[in-house]
Amino acid sequence: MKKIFAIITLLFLPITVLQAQTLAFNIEAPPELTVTVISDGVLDFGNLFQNQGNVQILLEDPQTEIISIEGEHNKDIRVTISPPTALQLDANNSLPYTLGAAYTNEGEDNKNQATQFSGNTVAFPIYDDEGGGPPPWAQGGKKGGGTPTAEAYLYIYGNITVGQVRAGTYTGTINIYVEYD
Amino acid sequence: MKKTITALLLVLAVIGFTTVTATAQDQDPASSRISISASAEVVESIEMETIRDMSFSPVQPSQQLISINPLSDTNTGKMIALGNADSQIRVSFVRERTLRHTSGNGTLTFTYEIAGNDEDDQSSAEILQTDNRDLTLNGNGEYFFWIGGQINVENAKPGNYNGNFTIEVEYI
Repeated sequence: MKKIFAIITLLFLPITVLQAQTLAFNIEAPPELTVTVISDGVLDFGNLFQNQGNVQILLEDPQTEIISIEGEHNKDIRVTISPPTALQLDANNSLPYTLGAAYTNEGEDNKNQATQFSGNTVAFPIYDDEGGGPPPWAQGGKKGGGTPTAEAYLYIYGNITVGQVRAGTYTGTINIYVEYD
Repeated sequence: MKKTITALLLVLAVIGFTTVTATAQDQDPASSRISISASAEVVESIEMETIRDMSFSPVQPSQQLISINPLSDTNTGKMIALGNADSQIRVSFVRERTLRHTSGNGTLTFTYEIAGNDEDDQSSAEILQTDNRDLTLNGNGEYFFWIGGQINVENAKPGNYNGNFTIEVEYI
């Protein structure tokens, strides 16, 4: 009878143990960084005339692109933005582009709280509430009750210079890389 | 038997841990990339070029009305709109403008009449209304305007009168 009990135990234990280990690891894993464009994803300078000169999209303008970054609430993140040097029509026609970027890390999408980048890379705490009040994770984390998360926001804008160039649609790609610092 | 079970548990624990760690590295949850695009639409601008100003002959004391026919008079002002070839444009202007006496308070009201043509030919031009949407620049990106009009000088004080004429041209 003892032998039979031992064999049955051996048959069922491995499956039980394997599941237990998997669950334990998931609980301890830090939340993933989730980066989401919450505007339309196109920094649109609109219709411009030849030789119009400098054209700006300012932080407070509605065309500014907004990106949310969700991650572990007590970690620092590093954001690296790789902008194009110019929006291109073709090899001979371009509009020089100067990046404008800012972030806010007080738990809400609010341009009035934004801090401007001084370069293309900046590191900051994902949550740094200077205004007080309950933190966003006060009623539990956003990841199903796991480690609390918080959201920071990026604002992408900038200016271009329109010289004597051909008419047409000029485009470029702005790459954004976010990592835990 | 206890040793056997303990060893088996350890092996399984290591297998389970190793499998999940590899998955986590593949997904790299500690970083994320995203891209947005930037765009601008550049259109050729429309330029207005004044070829000549409108001119009036000296007004005689008995004269009541000065009239410059935009379709035939050589005293008309002349302008050209320059832009994208074959583009549709909208042209608008204010028909009545006030001319002011250069050294007094007198004013005169000038009523403009404008003729337009995509060819440089005044006689075949058409009279334009104050808001026109069906005009097209020619193959060289040109559209021609001849500016005339009428002014009543019956009660005008002697002297010179100045005023501006504004015409607005835009792509549709």
